[in-house]
Amino acid sequence: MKLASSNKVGLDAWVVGLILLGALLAVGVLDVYQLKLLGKVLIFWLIALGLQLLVAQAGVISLGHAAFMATGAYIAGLFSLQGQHDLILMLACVAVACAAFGSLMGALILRTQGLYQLMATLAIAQMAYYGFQSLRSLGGDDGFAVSNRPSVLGLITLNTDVKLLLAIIVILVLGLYVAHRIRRSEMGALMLAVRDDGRRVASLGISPYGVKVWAFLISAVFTGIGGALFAQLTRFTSPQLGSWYMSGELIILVLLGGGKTRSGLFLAAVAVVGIQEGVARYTDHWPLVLGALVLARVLWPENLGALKKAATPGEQGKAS
Amino acid sequence: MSLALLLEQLLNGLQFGLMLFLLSVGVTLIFGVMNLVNISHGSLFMLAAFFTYSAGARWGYGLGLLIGLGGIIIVAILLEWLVIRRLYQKSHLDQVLGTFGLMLIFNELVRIIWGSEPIFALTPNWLSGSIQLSENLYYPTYRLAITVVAILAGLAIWLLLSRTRIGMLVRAGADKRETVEALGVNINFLFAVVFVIGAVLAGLAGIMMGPLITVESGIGDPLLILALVVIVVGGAGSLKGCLAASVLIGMIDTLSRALVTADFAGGAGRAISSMSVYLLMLVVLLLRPQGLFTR
Repeated sequence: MKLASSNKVGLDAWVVGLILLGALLAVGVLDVYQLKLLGKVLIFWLIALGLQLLVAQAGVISLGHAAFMATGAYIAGLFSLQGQHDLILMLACVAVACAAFGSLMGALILRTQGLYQLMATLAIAQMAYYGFQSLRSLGGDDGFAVSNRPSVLGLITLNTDVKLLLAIIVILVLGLYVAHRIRRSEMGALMLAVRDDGRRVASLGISPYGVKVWAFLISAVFTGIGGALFAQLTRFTSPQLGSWYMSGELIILVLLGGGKTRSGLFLAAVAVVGIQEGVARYTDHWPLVLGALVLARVLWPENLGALKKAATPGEQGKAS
Repeated sequence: MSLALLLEQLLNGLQFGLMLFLLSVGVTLIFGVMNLVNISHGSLFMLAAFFTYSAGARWGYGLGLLIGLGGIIIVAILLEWLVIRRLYQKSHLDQVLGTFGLMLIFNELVRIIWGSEPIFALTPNWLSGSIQLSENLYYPTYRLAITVVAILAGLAIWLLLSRTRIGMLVRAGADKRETVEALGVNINFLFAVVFVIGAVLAGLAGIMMGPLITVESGIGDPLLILALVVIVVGGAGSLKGCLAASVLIGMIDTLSRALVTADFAGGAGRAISSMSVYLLMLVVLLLRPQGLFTR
């Protein structure tokens, strides 16, 4: 177990600051389509920040996080159906719901080990997926439009994409700060310790199970808020957000981004969204490129690690 | 529901369970012997169906069958040699993501070669009628035929594993891999054989189920998830557990779809029948994490 040395963390923080500044400036000049892309990248970044805590820090793999994304998206959609609604209230509801769902799911699945744990996350997420699919009054399999945008404290209505993007950036900054504080906290250190040797943690009188449930809960809240913002950005939600392909994509973000830096996760989000949207301009077959990239990353981790070392400051990422 | 209808659903459930068994055998053997989680196993199911029915449309069913099985053997050998072999030593996360990537690649390759529209899966003429099982129960010949083939394939794999030298090595490898290796067995070759056997059985299931489902890109994936459920319920690496769990899950899945109507509980009927299998798996995981049918 090693914590990143402070100057590298400092460098990572500088890069994160530059990215955020760049995003702020970009909001002013981008057109509607490009704003959507930027929004997707930032939302995936936010989700990856939470998942990094669970997967890289606490060492728990989940193939079920799409369930939280869909939960967040559906709650955002329900608020939107009411007409005028408040962003903060909506996100608070998402956070509470995903914290409850996340701690329940975590408490159940963490009683199992290894492959079985993975299957358990998948099973619960599939049940949630079929649950959303059966909501016929909410469009069933087709989902429904999220047409009303929220307002903030009754002062500003986020009726344009620019305003929504600014709100997303503010939430992202909060998310970056919270994730950073958790990593540097006692809980963050405990997560690393649990990942490396749960029995030693237990011998100190701390329950490794409890630490992992917390990690699960935190990542669920991040993913849920990301899902709510995603529904607002795309003005649409459907059960597909909860499918296991989506769960795979979310884990891929952490794998590509590495375990330690925040800027690495940003690059991963850029890569995934870039492949989905950029390659899609030339061919429909973007999953081919994504699949090849993931396979290459798994088969030759050292080469891509070196690439990333050159491309990003901070430490070489390692996901497992 | 009449008795005949119930009987028909039971037969359908048994048959679906046996198909699941053919698909799951590969996954459970590969996990039991090589400790590898293979998400892309469903792609072999899909590829065999595509090989068979695109060749079969041109040159007839018999040749299509040969091309389908032969093609899947070649694909499996190449896949094991190029990719799977490098994944054995990796962590489960890397295995899941690597084979997830493979699955995406295969799905897209199929879409590139055959397009997104489903292709037509013909059945041979002599299997197209139905057979009268009782006074008012007619059952399609094709479904009966594939049930018989699945039972024969299951018997063959059981004989292979329990009565032959290679089967003995596979079972030994599942228990103590290092010891088998220390006894001078070429473990790489053994793994390759197990992988190809699993692929052929998955391919056989894909070919036989082709006419019953729509043959399109990604058809193997939902079944693969069910196969993973089978492995958890049956216990990894156990052939008997795999068979029992496959039939159990095939029955539950088929019967719940038939018995629980869509309007049940305010539109939640479909959800309940889709969820039932996962609910079973969750209960098994929490109460008997080692699987229902292992000692």
